[in-house]
Amino acid sequence: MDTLFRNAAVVGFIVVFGAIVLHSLLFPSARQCTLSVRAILRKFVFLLTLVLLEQKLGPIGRLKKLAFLVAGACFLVLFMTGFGPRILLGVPLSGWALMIHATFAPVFAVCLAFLAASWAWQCCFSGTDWNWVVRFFTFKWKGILADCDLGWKLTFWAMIILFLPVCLSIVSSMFPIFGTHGQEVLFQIHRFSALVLSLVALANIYLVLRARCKAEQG
Amino acid sequence: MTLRPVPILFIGLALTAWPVLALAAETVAEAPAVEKLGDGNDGNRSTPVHVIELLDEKGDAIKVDETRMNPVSLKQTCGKCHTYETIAGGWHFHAGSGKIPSGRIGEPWVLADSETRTQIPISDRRWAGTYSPGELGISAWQFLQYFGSHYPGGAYGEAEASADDPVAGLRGGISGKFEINCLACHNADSNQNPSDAALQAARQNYRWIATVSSGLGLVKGTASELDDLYDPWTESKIKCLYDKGRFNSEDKVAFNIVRQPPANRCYFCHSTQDMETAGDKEWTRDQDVHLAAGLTCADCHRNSANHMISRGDQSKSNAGIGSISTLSCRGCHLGDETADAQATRKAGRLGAPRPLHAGIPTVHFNKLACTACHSGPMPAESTTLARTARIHKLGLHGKHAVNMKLPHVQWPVFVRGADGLIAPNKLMWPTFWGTSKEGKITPMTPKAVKEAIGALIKSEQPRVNDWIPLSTETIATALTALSAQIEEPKEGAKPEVVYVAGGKVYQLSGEQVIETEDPAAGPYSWPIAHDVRPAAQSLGRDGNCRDCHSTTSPFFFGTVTVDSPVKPDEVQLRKQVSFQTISPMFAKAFAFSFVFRPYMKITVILCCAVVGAVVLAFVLKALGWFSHTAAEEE
Repeated sequence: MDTLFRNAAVVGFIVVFGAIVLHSLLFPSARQCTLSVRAILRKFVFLLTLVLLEQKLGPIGRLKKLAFLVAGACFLVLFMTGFGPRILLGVPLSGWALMIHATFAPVFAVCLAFLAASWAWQCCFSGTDWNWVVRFFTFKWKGILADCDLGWKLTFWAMIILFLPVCLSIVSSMFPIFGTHGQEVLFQIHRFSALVLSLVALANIYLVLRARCKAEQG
Repeated sequence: MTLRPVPILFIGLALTAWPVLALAAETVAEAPAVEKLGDGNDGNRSTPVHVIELLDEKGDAIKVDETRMNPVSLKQTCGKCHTYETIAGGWHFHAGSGKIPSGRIGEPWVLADSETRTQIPISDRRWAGTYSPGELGISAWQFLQYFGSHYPGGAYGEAEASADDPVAGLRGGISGKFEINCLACHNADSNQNPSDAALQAARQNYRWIATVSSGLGLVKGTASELDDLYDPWTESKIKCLYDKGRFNSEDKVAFNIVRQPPANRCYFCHSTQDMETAGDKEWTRDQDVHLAAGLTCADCHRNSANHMISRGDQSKSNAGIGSISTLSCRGCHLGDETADAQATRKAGRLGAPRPLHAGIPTVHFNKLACTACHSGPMPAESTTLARTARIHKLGLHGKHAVNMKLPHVQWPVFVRGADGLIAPNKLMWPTFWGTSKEGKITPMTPKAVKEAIGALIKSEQPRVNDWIPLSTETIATALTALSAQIEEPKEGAKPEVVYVAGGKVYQLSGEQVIETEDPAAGPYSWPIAHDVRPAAQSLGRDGNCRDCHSTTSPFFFGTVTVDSPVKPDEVQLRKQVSFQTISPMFAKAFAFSFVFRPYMKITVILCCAVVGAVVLAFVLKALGWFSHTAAEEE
């Protein structure tokens, strides 16, 4: 199972990154807002400095921004501690890495719960999205992948839904409910759902950035 | 050339139906031993009745009407139907016989002496931290005198005295061979008395041990008190008085022989006394849960004719013999996918319940031996002292009974073993005078120390059966004197004299004594397997993580005394974690994190509830939209 996970993770990341690169090449966004390395870095710097600069947002907006940044930082830590040892070193998560992982996890959970509640309205599907679905199933595929809001909304909801098995699997293993086999199953659920969550999160970041570019252009 | 089994004497009525086997036509030097009647097993599970003729060590039958009845030789008597040499290769008997397997690290013999402040772990299994008798210059004859009380016979007991040891040669002729005492384990008769065997060993009456301990007869006389030229075959200062009522009309004796030794037999050499519940509290201790459930030691610790008893070790020493590999904690309770027989691949052997281990993350099974949570006394704030049957000569009754305080053996100490798993151990700190040459420390026996510096280290106190304090000044004086007695070698440097105690090496630097840490002075520990506690009393039961993961848990932060006669008032303590190759800071931080564990669980569950509520709300909203859209289209 460890080998399967390792292989699945490597393949998953290659596929997702490959798909992102391919998509950005096939359907480049507007010239003013290209998804070059420089542009992405600029976006991140922009996001990170938001907490330091004077905010024009209201209290909830600021909280959302803060939660997003903290969740992003926690995601990075959880990603590195969770996948790093197994994928890079071939060893199970243990020791200090485990402690760091377990320390950042509840913070990530709180941030994600807050973001779920505060962003859900924005990510609500609309009539436009329904039209896209209709286009998809009626095989009117011309330009279907170039301009679509459904992607980041879908990935958002996928993240939110995947959050549940990721968290519940590991928390329930901390109660004297499941035996050795159950523990093993829960652990596999945790790490495989976390893998999918991570892949979806990467796709979500890409699609959100694209959508923002589109919005700026508009 | 392959030899076929030999025709054999009938042994009692029950054996008369056994097939008569063909006589080997010829013998070849170095050929495999001929299989004897008792070496095999025809599949009948009943135990053959043993009404047998007794033979003395020359192979002559012992007759009840003889005026001089020699002691029984089990090598001859049992060896008639069972290949003695095969049995002699077993774990219990092959020590000192040259090339022997090390096996998993275990309990050593310990040479202890309060006067010289010595406790040396001894074994010839090459276990790290032990010293072989040869290294200490202990001959086979001396070995029997030190450890004969709980010695099962064979190997050292039958070794020929070397030419440069005339004392052993002369005395060995009087005392006879210390043969394997088969009856010590396989005689289920209530008259079997291992304490009597120990008494005869103390008297150097080795050839009479089996006769006396089995209750066949009495022995009058003490070999150790006889002069060197005594002839045991012509003189009668040691008399063997048989219970003649046990002989039948054909001069045969009925024995209650069992294949599986009763636990009571094993206990004589394999008991452990917890000093916290010693004496009149002994009755409060529970026995191993397996025995309480009706199993006996030999149900798991089995052997074939070679007596290589399975040690319950899930690693190497059990492997290779099919279903034997499952005779371990994991094998019986969890099954072993690598086992030969289909049935033993599954859990539940001997009715072992399959553990649920609810709430125990599986990482524990990669880091801990089963015994860590299930065996030995419950870990406490500090370790306690234990005494073992072999090391402290427990079980001797009458005037030869001893009440040894030394060596100081502590338990339970949670130590990471060679297999990488943390397991409860018994632990002792080697303490001895010795020499150091090229980084290798060699201990001196208490006898040699007494001869060299006995007067200097002698205490003014009356005889003390425990550590007598030793000052650094005395160590300096003794080391100086000891150094002066060591001759300059013809080649190489003169060995340095040292005193090892409490994990430190004391040696001279000019006229001063300096103390240094040295791995060679480190503690010696060996795993505890029993007593296994009931599942309900295991660590972490019901997901109680704080049994181990709290900032005060004895498992990590209990103390182990660094035992030493030097400066006994300044007791040094070490944390359990220091024996586990875990960073103490990490252990503390990890334990501290469990303070917040309940809050983390609540937080994450609340977050899941929020997210679940959001998902549910928008799913309902989506359903509403769908319903609305469907209605509008109509």
